[in-house]
Amino acid sequence: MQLAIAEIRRRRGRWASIIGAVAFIVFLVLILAALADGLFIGSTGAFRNSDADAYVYSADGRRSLVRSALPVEDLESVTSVEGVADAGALGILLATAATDGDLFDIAVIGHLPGRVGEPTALTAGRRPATGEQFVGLADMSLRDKGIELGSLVLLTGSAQPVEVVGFVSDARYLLADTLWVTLETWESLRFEIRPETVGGGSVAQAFPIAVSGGAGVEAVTAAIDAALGTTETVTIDEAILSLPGVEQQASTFTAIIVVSFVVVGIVIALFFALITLEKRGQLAILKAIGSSNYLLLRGVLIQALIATVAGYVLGFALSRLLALVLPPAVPVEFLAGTARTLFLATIVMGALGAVLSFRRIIRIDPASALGGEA
Amino acid sequence: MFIALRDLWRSKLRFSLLAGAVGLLIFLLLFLNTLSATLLGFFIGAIENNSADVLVYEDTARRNLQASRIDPSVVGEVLTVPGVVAAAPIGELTLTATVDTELTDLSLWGVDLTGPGRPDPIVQGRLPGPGEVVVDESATAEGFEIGETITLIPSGTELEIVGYVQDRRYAVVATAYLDFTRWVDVFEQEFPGSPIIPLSLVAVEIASDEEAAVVGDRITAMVAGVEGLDRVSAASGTPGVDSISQSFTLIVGITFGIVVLVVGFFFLILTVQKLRSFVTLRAVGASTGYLAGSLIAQIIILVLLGSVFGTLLLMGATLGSNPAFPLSVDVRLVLTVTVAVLVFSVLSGLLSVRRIARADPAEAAQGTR
Repeated sequence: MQLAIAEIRRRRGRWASIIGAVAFIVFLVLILAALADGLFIGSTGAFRNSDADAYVYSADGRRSLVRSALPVEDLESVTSVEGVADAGALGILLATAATDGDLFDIAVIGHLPGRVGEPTALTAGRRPATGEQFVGLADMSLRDKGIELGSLVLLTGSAQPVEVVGFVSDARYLLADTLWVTLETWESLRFEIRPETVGGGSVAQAFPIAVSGGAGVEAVTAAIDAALGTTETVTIDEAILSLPGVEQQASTFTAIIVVSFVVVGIVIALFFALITLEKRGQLAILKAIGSSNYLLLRGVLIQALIATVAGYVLGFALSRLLALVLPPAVPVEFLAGTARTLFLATIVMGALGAVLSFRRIIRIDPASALGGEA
Repeated sequence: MFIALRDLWRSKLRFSLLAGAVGLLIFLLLFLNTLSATLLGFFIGAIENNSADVLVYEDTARRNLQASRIDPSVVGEVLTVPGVVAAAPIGELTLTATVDTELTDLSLWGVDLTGPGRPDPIVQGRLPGPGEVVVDESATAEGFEIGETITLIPSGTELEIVGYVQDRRYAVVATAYLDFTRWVDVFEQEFPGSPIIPLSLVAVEIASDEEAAVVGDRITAMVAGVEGLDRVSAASGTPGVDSISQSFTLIVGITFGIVVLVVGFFFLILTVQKLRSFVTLRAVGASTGYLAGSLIAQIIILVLLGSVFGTLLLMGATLGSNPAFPLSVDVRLVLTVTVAVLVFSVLSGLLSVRRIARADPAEAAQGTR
């Protein structure tokens, strides 16, 4: 133990470079993971932060909130399906809005207050009352655009502004900031901004449903599709993965992160292979004066642990520094849970890399200590 | 040189591990670049490679084609702007369609088939007539092949595919082009009773002695409620493009740094480890230049091996890629990445060369460890 640490202290330059290499890779992985998390959180908030168990779409809408259209009357039929405890309605309108002349993208989502599917995390103010017109809940991200309680948001192409009466957190949809209004307000805005949709009549774009306790979600979704005949009902997890890009992003980032960890393992393995080779003579002497294999291997593991922990700490610090200077267009989100998982993965890969040189150490013959040249 | 190769041969395991690490990192670089190029091409190809010189958006649309809604009368107004030779409407609708009984997404573009914004060049087949479309060739992976019929949902309108264009995909979905007047018919069927038929863009052809950006600015200034942009600005201004390209640039940059660091760092360790041998070699007459040459040769061999390994991995990844998102190996990209890694790795190897140059051959005579 003492020997392992003393060695690191005596050869600072070399250990600094291995720690630096690990730190750089950890840095890459942390930034990637933050990017993956940021994209996921920003894309899926409107769904994740909902108490719905499943979503009903029209069959031709291909699980897309934007494309799906369901007659509002169908809500009754959905509610009456056995096992459905509650059903709400959602509609989406992608628009731009302005406060003080600056335009920004905004997703206006119509919902039924008090019913399933509304954003669950109210952080300030109040919810709109059922049927209350032209008031809405804003996602917390809209605060960066200068929106406060009582602000009036005017959508491009609309004459009547929406008053913000409350804030919800983590309710974004496909990286757009959301404004949650009643389904009635949403319809008025939609008809005003997209007059071509008037002919389609009163529609909702998805029915979020809650399943009553005891009923299986799969069975209920199948029952709804059977009862209506024109719908595709999916569980909330499927609905999230069906959002454009979400599944592809997740698999791409996972692949990159896995490759990076393999590289961490190889880097550590190479490093210990090299220094073991170099120290063969000293290790033989240690063995000759009575050090057990166990003691030597433990020393190597401790060194690997120190290198990876120090590398991780440094990489972590670097990633936070970078986060400070990143342009807002890069949607990074640092989560404690992700940091923990990656910490464990780094240590495990470091240890695995170190274990690869165990065989070399065990094979060293103490007798070679007497032979002069190792 | 001979000594460099012998050294490599004698420590095969060590160098192959290192080449493996470099190969994986090069693979990561190649893969990320390929991914971002393909993604961006699928996302904004229809804008970036449009046949129009200038594209006109609604000024409040924030350069988002799908948010842009222009009154048809604007086409005439744009035509009066000096420097504009021709102007034509472009309409875009994203729909659900079936082709070959499969449900898929479709971006349907209505354009003037002979004016600016036309699908040009047609790489296979011919221009569409009534009831016909040309599609972006990438959509063949989704079943959109010449001779197939697209059925729009829910209206049931049928469109036959008669040709292909290239690199003209939009919003990552299959993209088809047809005559603007036919597109208006489709729009009316999708939105029955609509009081207006909004255009998405106005496509503009400029006089040969004008610059696209200048004419774009002129249109912005002279026509109320619109913004004229050259193709490149329109493509890079599309919402989301910034996020995608900046994120990828960041990741690629860091990965590149790591490759160079790993290579430089390991050769430094190797050099330190072999310093005694180098000193001996210098004492018996090997010049610093010779030793540096051997070291650089090893770095070059290592990076080239890594690059071959990385390219093989990329080929494997492209073979296994989703047909709806086909990745392909771009030879130029492989060469660029390899050369860049090579140059910077050699530079990082100079650290080791400095170590060798500073070693005093006289030390070899002292015989101490």
